[in-house]
Amino acid sequence: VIDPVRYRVTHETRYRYDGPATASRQRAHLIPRQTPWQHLLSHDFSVSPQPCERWIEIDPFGNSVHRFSIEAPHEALLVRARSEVRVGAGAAWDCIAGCDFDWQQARRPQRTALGDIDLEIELCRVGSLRAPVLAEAAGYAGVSFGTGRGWLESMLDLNARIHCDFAYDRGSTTVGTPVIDLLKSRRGVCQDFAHLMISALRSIGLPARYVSGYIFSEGTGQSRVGGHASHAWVASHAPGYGWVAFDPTNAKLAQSEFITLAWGRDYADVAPLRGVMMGRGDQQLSVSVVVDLLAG
Amino acid sequence: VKSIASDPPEPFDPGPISDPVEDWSVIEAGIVQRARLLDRILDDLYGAQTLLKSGALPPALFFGNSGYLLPLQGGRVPGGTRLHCYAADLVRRADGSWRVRADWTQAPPGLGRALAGRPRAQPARTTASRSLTIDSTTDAVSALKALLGLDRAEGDGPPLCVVLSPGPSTEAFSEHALLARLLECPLVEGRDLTVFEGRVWLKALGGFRRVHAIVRQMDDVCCDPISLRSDSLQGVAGLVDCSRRGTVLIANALGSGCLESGAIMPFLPDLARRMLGEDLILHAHESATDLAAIRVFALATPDGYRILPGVTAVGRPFMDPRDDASRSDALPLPARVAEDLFWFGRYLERCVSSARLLRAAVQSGATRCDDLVDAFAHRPLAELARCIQLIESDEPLDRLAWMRASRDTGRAFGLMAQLQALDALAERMRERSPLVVPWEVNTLPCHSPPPEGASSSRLEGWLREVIAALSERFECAPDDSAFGVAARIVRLGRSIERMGFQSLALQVALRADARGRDEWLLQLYASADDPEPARWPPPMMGDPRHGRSIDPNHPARLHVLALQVRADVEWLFRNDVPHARSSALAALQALDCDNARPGASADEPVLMDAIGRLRTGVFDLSDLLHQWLFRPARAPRLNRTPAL
Repeated sequence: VIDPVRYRVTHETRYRYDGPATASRQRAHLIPRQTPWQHLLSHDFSVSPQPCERWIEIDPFGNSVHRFSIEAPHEALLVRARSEVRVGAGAAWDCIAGCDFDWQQARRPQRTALGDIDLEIELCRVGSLRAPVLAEAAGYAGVSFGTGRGWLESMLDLNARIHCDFAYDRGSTTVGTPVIDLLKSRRGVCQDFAHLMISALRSIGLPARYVSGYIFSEGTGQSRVGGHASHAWVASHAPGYGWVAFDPTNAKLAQSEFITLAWGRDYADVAPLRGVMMGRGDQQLSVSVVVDLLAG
Repeated sequence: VKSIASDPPEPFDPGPISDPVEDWSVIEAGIVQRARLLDRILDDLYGAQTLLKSGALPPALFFGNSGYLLPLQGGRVPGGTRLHCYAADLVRRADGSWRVRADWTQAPPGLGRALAGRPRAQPARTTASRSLTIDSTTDAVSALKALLGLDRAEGDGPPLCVVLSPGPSTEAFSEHALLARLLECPLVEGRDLTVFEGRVWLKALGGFRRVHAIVRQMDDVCCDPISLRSDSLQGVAGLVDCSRRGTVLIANALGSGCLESGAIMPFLPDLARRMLGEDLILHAHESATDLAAIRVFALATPDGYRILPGVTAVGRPFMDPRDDASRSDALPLPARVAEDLFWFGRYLERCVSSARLLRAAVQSGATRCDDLVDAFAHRPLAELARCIQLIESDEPLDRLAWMRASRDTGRAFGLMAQLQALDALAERMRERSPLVVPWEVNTLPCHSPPPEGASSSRLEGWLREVIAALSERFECAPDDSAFGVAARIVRLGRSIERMGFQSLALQVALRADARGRDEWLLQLYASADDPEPARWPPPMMGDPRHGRSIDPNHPARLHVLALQVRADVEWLFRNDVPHARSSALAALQALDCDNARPGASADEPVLMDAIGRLRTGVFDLSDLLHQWLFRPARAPRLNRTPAL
């Protein structure tokens, strides 16, 4: 049994524009999601300069999203989200060992209590722009998903193989690197590994979604990759159990050290900050994330 | 998913219809049924999703289709119709039956041509049954306008509808322009529109105008860089929100393109029975053989879908936009187009000023010894030419310098490069905004550079031609028609540029030796063909000491220009929001011309100071116009996304 833990996350994004920017329209996936195992205790979101319009909406995946507009010319944009969450209470992680059914069962559409096809799962079974269905990815996944093998065992195997086969290499990829390139270069960051795993699962007919959030790592060591930065991992649906989250970057199940922000089909659905503005010249972006473990 | 930019239908020979009466009634019934069915399917896909939940349609068919827009699910559409215009490509099989080869549910290509085309022979009218075909193209245009709500006047005037196009890079751009023309709507691009307060606005000259309806000629996924594909810069940030809230009517509704991938066709017979309780009339053409097709269009009307008479879509050649300029009067002018017009005016005047300066320099050199560079006139002219970067600061001032300044296209501010920039801008305006471009832009002559090694007199002759060809344009008085507004903006650009150049010339003149000053200033302004240059005093003083007659209202004089600029700016801001008006008026204060009036003090330091302020003021005014009046709603620009 895992004890619930409390975290405080401070996520700051700064843009500096060479020329003044105006007519800025932004969308931020920076509100930690309420889930059965994660409770949002407080959330503070501030934007400088002051937006002229600001609201919260729910996106198609049920994530809460900040939207804001800035009209006045500005040369810098600071977006700060500070949240406190409790993770672990209400989680059913103990029962996960029960997911030892044949993985092929997860390829069938699931029905909701009303007898309808569960569209939330079907939505994550088809390829998306950043995590497409690919023959190469199916080939990579096939090694782990042998005939008659258990679902959890196969999933953990794929999770571990990605960790072994791919080198974590900051700067080797960009936010737009396609999965097919990654399969050749074998280096990338957490976002690439998540896209690869999603692509691999979808290519053999399993539903998978992209989860964006943070990972807590103690101290300053590099023992766990992704600490003090945005992190990304994968969730796949186990029939009869629900969505199970895997972190291929660290070869483990994503449980109480993981703070979930939002999920979608791939990065494009849940990018922390996304938008357009009017302006000229270049822009500099800096992001800082601090995750603190709180007592109690 | 098929691109909407594929070919519009070519003029069609109605030959394949053997028995027009019988065939046509089948076609019209089939198309109307299909449009109804597809609209119902869209309604379900973006509403209750029962077809997907029950498995009647495989979810992967839509979730895997980029045209199915998730953020639109659960939203409402004004009027409840999603499929406003529909078209199907029909082929006739050997057995005489008609089959559907393609459905067009997003922005049926060729709609403009179908609406503009001559009505085909009206076979259905000979039958006793009530026809499902609209009588004439005129009626069809009215029906489309009614569909867009353009026939209803609201409290704040008639509703504004725009045709949203990706721009001239699309093959179908002429089609979009035609549609805009038929509907008498502005043709806009994504950056002309903006969203705030949950509504769509057109950044028009004179302020933001609420947009009530959008005829969308853009792919679904490109319509909103925030909620849809983020790498598309064509769309309008926030359009999806407005669509969901129902504050703007979009025809066809966002997301309707997901039915264009022929994947749904095999399911239609079942769905027709299930949703309409009818048998499907027109079946899919499954064979790969490509038969000639006709495209039949349908429009949603209050009585249900009706077929357009323009199956034989014969294209109509583009008319001279001035033919019916008056009809465009009430149309707001997109700010982006206004900006092009303004810069056209400035470029035009810059070319004229440079050419005048070069001509004066060539003349002053020609009347003296060719290498006498320090002649009274030559030196200030050279300084002036350096100030406007016509010649470079370290360039030796030999007798070829003026020739290089005239013909060298490599230097950014050389005359030939400026003429080319002017041409390029005119070309872009003709291409992008064919409906509002004034005649003068359309007929701009193209100049070839002066021959290399030409004599001074050849060069002078060439310069005179350039000046003559450019300076008579836009001297006509602007009226309030759309072309008049365009002409006024060009004139404003010209006046501002001219004031900038003349004040610079006066500053140089005041610093230079007084001897011969009036002569070369005269040369800068006098037209080569002017019979009596003496009637054109230098714009600064017109000092009666010179004993020349003075025309105080000559258009080249600074204070006359300043008055005209003031009038034009006040006119342009007349309907704008108060704080824009007040900043415009403040900027105009700087154009205080009392010291530049004829008969005013000839005290040179005072004059120098006044001219300096005028010069700063006029460029500040230009910046203000640029920032406020001409700013498009949004320039396409993406945030850089944080990498992990």
